[in-house]
Amino acid sequence: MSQNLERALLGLDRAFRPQAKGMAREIDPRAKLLVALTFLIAMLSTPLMDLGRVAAWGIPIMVAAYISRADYFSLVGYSLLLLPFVALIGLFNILYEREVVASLFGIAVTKGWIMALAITLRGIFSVQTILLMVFATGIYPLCGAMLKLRIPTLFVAQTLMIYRFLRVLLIELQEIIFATQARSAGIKRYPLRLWARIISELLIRTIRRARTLDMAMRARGWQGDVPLARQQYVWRWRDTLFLFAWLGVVAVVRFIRL
Amino acid sequence: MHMSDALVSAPVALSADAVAATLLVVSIAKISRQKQLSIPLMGVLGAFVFAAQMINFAIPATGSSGHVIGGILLSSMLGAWGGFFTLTSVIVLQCLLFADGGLLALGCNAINMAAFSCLVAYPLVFKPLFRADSPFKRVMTASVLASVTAFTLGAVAVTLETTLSGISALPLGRMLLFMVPIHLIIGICEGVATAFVILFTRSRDPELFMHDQEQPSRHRTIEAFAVAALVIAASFTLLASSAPDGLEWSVERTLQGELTLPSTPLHSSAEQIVEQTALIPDYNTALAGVIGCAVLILLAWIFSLVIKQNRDEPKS
Repeated sequence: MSQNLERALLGLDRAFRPQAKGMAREIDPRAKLLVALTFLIAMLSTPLMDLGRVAAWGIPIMVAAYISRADYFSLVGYSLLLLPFVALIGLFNILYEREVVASLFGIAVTKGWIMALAITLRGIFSVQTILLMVFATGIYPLCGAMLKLRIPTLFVAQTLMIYRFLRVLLIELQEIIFATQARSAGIKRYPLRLWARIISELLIRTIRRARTLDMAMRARGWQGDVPLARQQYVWRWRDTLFLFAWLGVVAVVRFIRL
Repeated sequence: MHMSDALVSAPVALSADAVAATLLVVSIAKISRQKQLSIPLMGVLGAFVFAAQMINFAIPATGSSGHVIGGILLSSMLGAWGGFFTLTSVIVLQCLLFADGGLLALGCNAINMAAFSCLVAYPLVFKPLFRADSPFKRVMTASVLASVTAFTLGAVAVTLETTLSGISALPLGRMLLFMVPIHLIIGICEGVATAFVILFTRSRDPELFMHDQEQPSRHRTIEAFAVAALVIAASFTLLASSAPDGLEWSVERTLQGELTLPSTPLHSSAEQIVEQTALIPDYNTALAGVIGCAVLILLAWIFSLVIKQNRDEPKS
């Protein structure tokens, strides 16, 4: 529980601004968002039985991680953490698809194994794509890109508002959990009723804060606009080049048999 | 319940994105018309649900754990569209911050978690049963029924999306058998947790649940129970044992084998009639549960109409 909260706080701090260095940081957030979406669509449309091609999607991710100077191994580690459900679905394929499609060093390889591997790889790569996009762009610039791509302002404002209050809330939650742990004499599993009390206490504190904030914002004459909307994004030649270069890479991996 | 990009194909993901985007546009239009809803309140409640989703609670007797979705809770304070809007932005932020749920699968996740809980379970099950001054049992019933409905529909949707994407070789029925019971248990836990949170919060700040409160009519309450009964009937039949029932078991034990029908003309014609008239010959399915429930509800409704008509007629 405490680990989850600390991980969340750390993630929030890191995701605030772009962490990538060099060229990857300077590219327009819209270009990065479009590349990530195209990459995901192309990867997810690759047939599961084409394992070689599914595995090949890992190469552009490694290149992107290298360009943005991200720690690739921590990316892999984190993406493995989110895999259990995906892996479970893959496991069922091993049990149900028993048709032998290849032989590797004399060992029969079934269709189920190939599908399971492909699903697992897709899971790892899709998580890595999102993490890399946020690493190279940051949440604020991403929200700015969403506004420029005509995502409704109210939705972006709401997403930013949640982001803004998460840190405060997580610290509050940490305090409540710490206080509960201090009183519970080493008991780690709490009954549902106690969890409900913890959540309720957090909710009451949250609402009080929200009401104060609401009054303050109304008093200031806030009309629902987002400061990010006023930020100027200038689309440069290098952004066009970046976009087309990556679209080319995506096309090569998806359509050309190497 | 967060679906990863790996579990959906591009066409399924994009179709779900289109549906979710449409619902989002409608929700924005609805929210913009509501003067009393404030963005900071929605934002902070969204942050609360985000934080609350990090608390995993143990599911009794299963050894697994689950977390709240918060759709019913959000809707009870912000209304159906406000809840959907807020929960969708929570899902987007979870995807961006922790890669929890895929980027392309955002639409699937918004439908599975936000739409079913805020736009289906809340207005059809929770709202007709709940009032700002409802007693403990009623709040608990409303929360549990609504949460079970939302989770069951969500689990069915996850199964359908995965199957339509051609990702899983597991047959649809078996995957439902795997998914629905787990989510039923989580749904019950979420319902209980939501009820406690609502009760505790209401005792401290009753105004929060006063928005669009209307006197629930008897019809709305009946509708709510009907929807919940249909969903629960469909899901609990999946839990039904394939073993013979008590009577079959005792007959098998007595006769040391399965009971065979004598081949008299009377028996064979009776069997034929049953086969021709049976709506669902293989009755051990979720569909049988739904149809049986629907027929019962229809019969009860017709019966009540007849009684009402008889009562209203002036006695000569």
